[in-house]
Amino acid sequence: MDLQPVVIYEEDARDLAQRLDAFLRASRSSLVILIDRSGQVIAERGYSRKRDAEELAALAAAAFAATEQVAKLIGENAFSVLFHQGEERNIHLSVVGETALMLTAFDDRTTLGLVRLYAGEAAQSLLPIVERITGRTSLGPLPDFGEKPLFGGTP
Amino acid sequence: MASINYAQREITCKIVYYGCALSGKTTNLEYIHGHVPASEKGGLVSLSTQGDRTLFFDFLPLEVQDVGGFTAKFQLYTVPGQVVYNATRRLVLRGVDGLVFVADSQWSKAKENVESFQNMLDNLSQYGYSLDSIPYVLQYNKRDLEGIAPAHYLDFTLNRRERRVPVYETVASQGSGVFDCLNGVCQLVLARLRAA
Repeated sequence: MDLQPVVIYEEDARDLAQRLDAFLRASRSSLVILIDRSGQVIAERGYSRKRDAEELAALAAAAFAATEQVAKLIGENAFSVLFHQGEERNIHLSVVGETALMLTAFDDRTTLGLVRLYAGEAAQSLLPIVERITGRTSLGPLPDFGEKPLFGGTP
Repeated sequence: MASINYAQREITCKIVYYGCALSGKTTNLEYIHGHVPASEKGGLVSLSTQGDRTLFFDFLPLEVQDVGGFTAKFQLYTVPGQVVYNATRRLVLRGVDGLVFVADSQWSKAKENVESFQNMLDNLSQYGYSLDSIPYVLQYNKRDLEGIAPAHYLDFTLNRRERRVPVYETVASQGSGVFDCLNGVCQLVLARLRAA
């Protein structure tokens, strides 16, 4: 595994948003986050408070990675879906190829069956874009970031 | 792994604080969280035991606006230092872009530091990663205590690879050197991205 970054251009962001919006509408879910396996947000659609998506992504990727190890201990390669049921809200986590996960938050306006159905279809439609953005071997131009300290000023 | 979003002009990088048990990894994140403006940070998430020992990881998202026209986001993670949690340590390293190795400066921890450093190399190799390609810095923590090894001894044991890396002497509980170290690793990560 190399350390090639995920590279997202305008057209990728547009394609991802279009497919994630279609999934949200069809599944009647409230939030969907596409996450890379290291825990970073690739794209998100729907409602979330600022920065909640980042925490959700980090924790979901970790939970998925932990259950992957659990799967191996019982002779499975991985669990392809994780589901967390709450009293009012639920989380559905599924794989998109080898490098990404899709987190869906939903409530009683829809059902687990509907979310699972459309999550499978969405994963198929997202996969070519995920492969495109994770497979780029060269970056676009990046600016000189300078050497000024980034953190540590007055809180 | 880092992500560069040209559509939103955002760069996101993952930085992991690694080191032996009780070396001060979580203390680094707690100090940073307490001293960064609210506009530049998210919540500090700690997955710890009832005794406040890290069970899985701590997570702190930071961001800086307008770094060369981009928003630079850094996601800081710690690993659990206790030997028994190696499986979770390895998971946290997935997709790492930069490392801070936090060494406990006390003489009594010299062996644990070396073992933890070797453990980091072993876990990185499980993903095909190597310190030859990942930017990292060394932090010699707890410099305020009695019975600490001099920096040149810690250099001899930890900074002896062909590529010598920046070293920061810190007292994380008081914040001394913590931001210098964070800024140092962030700059190395951004420089590597630019050179990619």
